[in-house]
Amino acid sequence: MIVLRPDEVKFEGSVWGGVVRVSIDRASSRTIEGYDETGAYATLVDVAKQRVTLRVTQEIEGEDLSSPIPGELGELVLIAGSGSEAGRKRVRCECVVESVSNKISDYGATRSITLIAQSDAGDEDPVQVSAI
Amino acid sequence: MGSSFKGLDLFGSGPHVFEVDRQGRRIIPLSLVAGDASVAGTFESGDYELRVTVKGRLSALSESALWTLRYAIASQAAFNVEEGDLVDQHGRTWSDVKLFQVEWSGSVDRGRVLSVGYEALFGMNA
Repeated sequence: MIVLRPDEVKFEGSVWGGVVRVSIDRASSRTIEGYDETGAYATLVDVAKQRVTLRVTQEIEGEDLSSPIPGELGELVLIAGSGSEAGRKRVRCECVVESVSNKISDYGATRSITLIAQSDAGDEDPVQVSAI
Repeated sequence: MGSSFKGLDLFGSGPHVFEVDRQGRRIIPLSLVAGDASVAGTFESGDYELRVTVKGRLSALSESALWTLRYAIASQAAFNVEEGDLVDQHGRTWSDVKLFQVEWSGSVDRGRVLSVGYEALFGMNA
């Protein structure tokens, strides 16, 4: 899932400004592969554990002395706009900050925040998308 | 064709393979019998007993269904349960073997399906 230039991004109520993109990646952290004696191909493939990683990229203008801290838990809410009111979506996700890194060049500064999604229940998708 | 033990489809819910343990003459060091490490030599003591291990994963769509599959295997490993024929997926048959034990490989994995790994040891006593 990719959201370019979301209308609004908040983390635990605090507005994160200058967000240019948010990506939500899903990857298996435990894959089950089972083979039997009938041939070369797996006859059971399953993902028993999965990790949802969110990456938020901000353009930073001027000084910024506040940034999230790794380990911080909060609800990330972003509004994905479509250029009009029609089709706007709200994405909510409870997640934990894993890392914060900054890149500075002569042309500007960006901050990348990586978060790991956390589910209230193990069988519930932590990323909730709803229409506005 | 499916595998079976005593005509029961114990392993068909998921992938599984059959492994036959070592075969041939059993060579015993004399030092072991004598209890003296300085004694040289070995002797033959019959053949290795048959051991066949079925390794695989049980899979089910619910907790209760998975437990039913687990109980079905475990009950065949209980003391005094009769021996029977073990048949692999190609029809190879090991006659009159017992299920000695089953070991579960860790916790249940919960993805699209519920599954748990196992190793079931079959064999016969000479």
